[in-house]
Amino acid sequence: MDLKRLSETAIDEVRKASSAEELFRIEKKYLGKKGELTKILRSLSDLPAEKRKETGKNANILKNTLEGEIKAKNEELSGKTKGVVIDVTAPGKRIEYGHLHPITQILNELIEAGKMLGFSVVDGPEIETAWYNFDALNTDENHPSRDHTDTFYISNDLLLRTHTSPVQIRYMQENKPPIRIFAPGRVYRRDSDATHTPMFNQLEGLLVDEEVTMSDLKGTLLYLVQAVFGEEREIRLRPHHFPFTEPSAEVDVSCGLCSGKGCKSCKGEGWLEILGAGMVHPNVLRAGGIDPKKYQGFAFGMGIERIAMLKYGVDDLRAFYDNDLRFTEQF
Amino acid sequence: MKIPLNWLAEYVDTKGLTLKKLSDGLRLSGTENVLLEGSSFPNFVVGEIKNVEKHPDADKLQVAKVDVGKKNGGVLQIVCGAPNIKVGQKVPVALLGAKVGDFEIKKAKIRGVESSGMMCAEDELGLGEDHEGIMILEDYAKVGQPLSEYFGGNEPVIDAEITPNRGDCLSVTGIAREVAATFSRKLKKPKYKKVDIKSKKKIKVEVKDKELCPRYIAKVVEGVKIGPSPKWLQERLLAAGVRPISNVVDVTNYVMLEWGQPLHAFDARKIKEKIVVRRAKKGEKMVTLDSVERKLTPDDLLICDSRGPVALAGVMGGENSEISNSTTEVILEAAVFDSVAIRKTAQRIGNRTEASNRFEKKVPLGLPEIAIERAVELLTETAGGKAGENTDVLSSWIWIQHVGLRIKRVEEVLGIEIDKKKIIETLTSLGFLVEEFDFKKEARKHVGKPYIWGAKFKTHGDMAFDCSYLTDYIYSQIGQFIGYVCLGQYELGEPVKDTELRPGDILFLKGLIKDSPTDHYYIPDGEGGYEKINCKKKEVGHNALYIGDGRVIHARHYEYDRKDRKWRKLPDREAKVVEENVEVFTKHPEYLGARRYIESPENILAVTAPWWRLDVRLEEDLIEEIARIYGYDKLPTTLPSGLMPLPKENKNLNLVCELKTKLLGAGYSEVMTYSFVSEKEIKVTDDKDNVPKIENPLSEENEYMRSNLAVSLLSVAAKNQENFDQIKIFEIANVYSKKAQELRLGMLVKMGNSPETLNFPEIKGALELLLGRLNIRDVRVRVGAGASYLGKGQAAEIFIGKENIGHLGVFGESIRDDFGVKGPVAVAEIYLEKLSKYYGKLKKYQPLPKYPCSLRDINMVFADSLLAEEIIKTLKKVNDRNLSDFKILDIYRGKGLPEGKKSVTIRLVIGSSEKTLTEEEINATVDEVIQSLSSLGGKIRS
Repeated sequence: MDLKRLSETAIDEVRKASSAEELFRIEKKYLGKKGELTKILRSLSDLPAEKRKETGKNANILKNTLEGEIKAKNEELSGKTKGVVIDVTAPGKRIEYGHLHPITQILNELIEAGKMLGFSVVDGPEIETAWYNFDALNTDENHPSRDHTDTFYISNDLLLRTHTSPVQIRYMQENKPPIRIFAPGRVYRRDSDATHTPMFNQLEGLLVDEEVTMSDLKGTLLYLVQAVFGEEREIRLRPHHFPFTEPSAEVDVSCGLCSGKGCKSCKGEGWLEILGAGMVHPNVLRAGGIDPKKYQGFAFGMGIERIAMLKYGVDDLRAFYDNDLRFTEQF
Repeated sequence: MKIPLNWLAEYVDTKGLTLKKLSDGLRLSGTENVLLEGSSFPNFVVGEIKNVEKHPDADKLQVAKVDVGKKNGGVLQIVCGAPNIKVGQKVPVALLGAKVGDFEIKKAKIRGVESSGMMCAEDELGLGEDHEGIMILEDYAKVGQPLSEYFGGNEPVIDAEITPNRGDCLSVTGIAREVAATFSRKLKKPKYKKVDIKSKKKIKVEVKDKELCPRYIAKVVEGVKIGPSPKWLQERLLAAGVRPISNVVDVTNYVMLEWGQPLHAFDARKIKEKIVVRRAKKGEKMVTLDSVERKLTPDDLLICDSRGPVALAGVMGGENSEISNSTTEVILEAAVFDSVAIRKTAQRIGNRTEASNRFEKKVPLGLPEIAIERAVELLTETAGGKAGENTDVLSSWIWIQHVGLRIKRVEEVLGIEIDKKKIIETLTSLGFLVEEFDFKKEARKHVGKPYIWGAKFKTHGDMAFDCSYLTDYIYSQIGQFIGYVCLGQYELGEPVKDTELRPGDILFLKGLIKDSPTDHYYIPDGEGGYEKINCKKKEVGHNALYIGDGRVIHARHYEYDRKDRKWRKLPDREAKVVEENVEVFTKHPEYLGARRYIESPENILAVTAPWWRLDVRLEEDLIEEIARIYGYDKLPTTLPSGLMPLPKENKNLNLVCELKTKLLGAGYSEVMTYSFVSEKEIKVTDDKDNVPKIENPLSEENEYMRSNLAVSLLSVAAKNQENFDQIKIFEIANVYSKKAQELRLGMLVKMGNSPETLNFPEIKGALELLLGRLNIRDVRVRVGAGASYLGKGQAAEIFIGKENIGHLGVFGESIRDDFGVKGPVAVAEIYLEKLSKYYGKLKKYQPLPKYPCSLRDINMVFADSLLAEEIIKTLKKVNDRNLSDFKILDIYRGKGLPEGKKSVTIRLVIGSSEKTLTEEEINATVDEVIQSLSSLGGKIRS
C-alpha cells in the first residue's frame, strides 16, 4: 500500500472509531509492532538511497499525524472535551487601562523627536522674577505684556511666568554652548475666553552654537512638525516680531484637511498657525552670559494645546482643563 | 488697520497685482492681513423710511415701513426700538439672512407684529460704538443700493494687523512702502502741495514737559466753514471703518489714516491765549468730548489753554474745545507724545483710540511737519479758510540711526548667500540709505574741514571735527561705537602691530592733555545715558585713522616741535582735517600704538535707517529686513550641523514618564487642573498664608497657588461622578509654597460602592504596585495624620527609611460634602522630588531557587485593633531560614468570628536553597511561624 493511500484510510478509520476498543485496534493495526506504518518505517533501509529520504520523511509525518488524531479521538471518546460553544461575539473581559492626557501625548511625541536631534529636557520655576521673564528676554520695562492686565503678579517682582522662555536664560547662565534644550511646562496669562485659558502648556526650544542659521531653525521645525503631524505636512514661516528674537517668525503648518489648498477648517488659508520662533536676539544671549560675537542660536516656543487641537480636531481649548473624563477617555 | 485699495494705489503702483497676490505677498513679508473683498456688508442695503407708527402693544416700539428697492423686496415692515427714526430718513437695513454679529436676521413676530429685517445702529455695523439710535445716512444714499457701495463703492480693503514694532505701518503710506518693497514696485510721490501762508494768526505754545512731548506743532486756520465732507472723503473713511463727522474732523482722521500721524483740531475761539502742554495736577478733572468727566493723575499729559485742560493729550479731545457747527477758526495740532504715558492714560481711562494706539507704537519726530501740511491742504480744500504759520516746538534731537552691515553676516545668520547687489536693492527699496563702506573714501570726504575742539554731531554735524570726534563719526556710519574720547578709543580697541595696520585702525599719540580726563571715560549704558568706566591713569591726547597705503587722516590743531619736544598751536587756517603719511604717527616720539575695532574692513555696508523706521537699531534688524523681503520661504531647510551636546539626564522627567506609564497600566487616567485655586479650596488645608497669592487674579476662582493636588482632584471627582461609577485619576504637577515649587503625584480613587474599606486598599495597592515597579524598596506605610483633608483614623504616611515621601488616606466626610462628592474617596500624594532620590537603582538578578518551594496558607485570629504592621514585623523576625517569603492574603471580619476579632490569612513560602524539604521540615517552619504570631495573641482559626 502506498503511503498516500495508507494515510487517507488510517486517518479516516481513526475519525470513524466509535469506541475505545476499536480505536485501540486501529492503533495497533497501523502503529503496533507489526503495524502497517511500522513496517514501512522498518523497511526503509531496503529502499534505494534516493527514495529512502522522501519516504522516510513522509512516513514520519504520517506517524505524527496519526498519533495526534488518535490522541484527540481518545479524548473525545473518554469525554474530556465536551465541545462547549463559546459566544465569540460577546465582549471580552474589560481590562482597565488609563488614559494619558492629550497634552502629555503631544509633549511626549515632541520630546521624543527632539531627542533624535540632541535636545535634552530641562525645567524651570513657574513662579519667576520679572527679570527672567521680561528684562533678560529683551522686553522693555514698559512693554504692554508686563501690564497687570496681561500677567499674573505675586508681588512687584514675582510673577507667574508668561512663557517658558525664562528657562533659556537660566540654562545659558549655567551651561556653555553647544546648547540644545527643550523646556516644557505650564505658563500663565491673564486671559480667559473660548480661545484662551489662564494656564496653558508650552514647549520651549533653544539651540546655541557657533554656527547655526535660520535655515537650521526651519529644518528643525519641519522635523518636529512632521514627527507630530506626519510626513506629508509642510511648514511656512512668516515674518513677525518678538522682542527676544531677530529675525522672528510665526510658523504655520499646512492644513491636514485640504493639504494647503484652503478649506473651512483653515479658513481658506491652507495654513494653520502653530508657533513662534526666531534667531536669538544678541541681548538675550548677553543676559544668559554668552558672547553674541562668538555664538548665535535659534529658539522657538509652541503652545501644546494649539497643536493638540489641530491634531485631534478639538474645537474648544477649554476642554483640556475641564477634566470631563468623557473627553479624556477619547485619548 | 483697514486699507482701502484705491487709496493705497495713490501711493504705490499696484497695477497688475491681483488682490490675492497683494494680500499673500504682504503676509509673507510680515504684514499679516485679511482681504475684505467688496461686500463687507452682505445683505445690507440702503432703505428709506416711508411711514412710522406706534406699535399697538408696546410703548417703546415703533413699526416702520421701509422702502429697500424693488429688487430687495420693495417696502418692508420693520419693528424698531430706536426713538430717532423719522419719515424720509435713509437708513442701513439688514435684510433677511444678513448677519448682525453672530445673529442672523429672520422673519419674526415682535409682540404680535411681523418684522422682516432690521434697521441698524453704528455699532451693529461695526462702525464705532454708537448704539444710541439708528444710523442716519447722507442724502446721496440711493434706495436699494448695497450698503457697501454707499460706504465707498464696494472698494476692496486690506485689513492689516500690524506688529507693535511697526507703528509706521499704521498708515496707507506705510503699507504702500511695504507693497513697494515686497513687489519691487515704485512708490508714487505724495501729491499734496504746500498751502501758502495767508493768515497772520499764530498760537503760542508752551511745552512744560518736554520728555512726554518732544514735538508740538500748532497751526491756526481761520475762516473755515464746517459742513459735511465731500463724498469721496466720506467714502474713504467709511471704507477704512471710520465714521464721517464733519469736514474738519474728517480731515484730521483722513490724514491720520494716510500718514499715521494723529491730529487734533480745536475750536480756536475756545482756546484762550496759548497752548500749554503739561502733566495733570493731582485731583484735576476734565470732561472729554464723549461727555465723561475724567479724574486725572500726574501721569496724564494735558493740552491746556491759559485757563485749564482742553484735551487729554494723544487720547481724546475735551468737550470745551470741540469743533461744532459754528466753528470758524481751528487750531490744528500735530504732535509727538511719549508712547508709554499715552498707553497708560488710555488704558486707565479704558479708552484706546485710533490716536492713542498710534502714539503707543511711537510716532517719529519727523512726521508732524508732513502731516500738518497735508491736513491744511485738505482742510482748506474742503472747509475753506486761510492758514497761518506753524508754531513748532521741537525739544528733542531727531536721531539718525546708522547701522553697519557685514555682508557675510547675512549668510551666517540666514544660512543662504544673498548677493550684495540684491541686499543693497532690498534695503534701498525699504527706504534705507545704503553705501558700500570704505574708510578711505569716508575719511577723505572730510579732509580740509576745520578743527574745532569739542565738536560733536548735535552741534557741528559733519562740518567740523576734533580728533576723536572724527574717528567716532566715521565709525558711527557703520553703527560701531569705539569710544567718544581718545582715551576711551585707546582702551576699547584691540592692540595691533604697526606692521599689520589695515584701513580702520586708529593710531594714538600722547599729545597735549589739557582738560581731558586721564583716568576714566564714558560709554553708552544702552538706555540713553552714559556709564563711567575707570581705568589706569593714561595720557592719550591725539589720534589718526589709518586709511591704507601708508596714509592716515586726522583732525589736528597742534603741531609737535621735535627740537624742543613741545606741542605748538597751529594757526586757525591750518587747524583742520589733513591726510599725511603714517610715519607722522608711527615714528612720533609720543606714539602710543594702534588699535583695531572690527573684524574686517571689507564688505561692510553703511546703512542709514529712514526717519520713519524707529525699530531698526542693529545689524540683526537689517538682516531681518533682508530676509523678509527676500522671502522666508526661499530659505533652505537644513538641520543644525554643530556637535550634539551630551544628553542631560533629567531624573525628574524620567521618573514622571515612568510613573505615568505605570499609572496607565493600573487603570488611572491623567487629568490636568489649574495651578491656582479659590479661597474655598485653599481653606481646606488652611494654607492661605503659606502659599503665593495672586495680586491680580482673573476671578476668585484662581486667587491662590495651590499647596496640594488632592483638593483639585476632588473637584474633578465631583464633576465626573454623575457619569462614572468608578473614577481613578492622577495628576503630576507642581504645588507651591512661598519659598518654592514642589513636584507631586496626586492620585484619587472613587469606586461606586465600597463603604467598608472606603477605597483605601485600592489606592494603597496602586501605590505598592507603582513603587514596586520602580524598584523602590523599604517602603513603609505608617499611621499618621498625612494631610488635614484626610479623615481621622483614615490617614497614613509613606516612608522610605526615615524620609516621608507622601501620604494617603480617605477624604474626611465634611470636606467631601463641601465639594458635593457622594461616597468615599481615597487619595494619595507623593512628593516626587524626594522619591526621585530613591529612583533609578539598577535591578539586580536573584538566582531562581533550585529546589521546589512549598506554599502553606494559615488562618489566624487576632484582636481587630492589632495593626497589620505588627504581624508583618513579627513575621519578618521569624528566625527560620526556610521561610523564604510570606504574604497577607486576606483580612476578614464578621460572621463566624467573635466581636472585636479578625481573621488573617497568611501565605507562607517555604523552601531551601540546598535541598527539597521534607514534610516534617515544612511543618516545623509553619509551627515556628504560628508560635511567633501567638506572641501577638494570634490563634489558629479552626
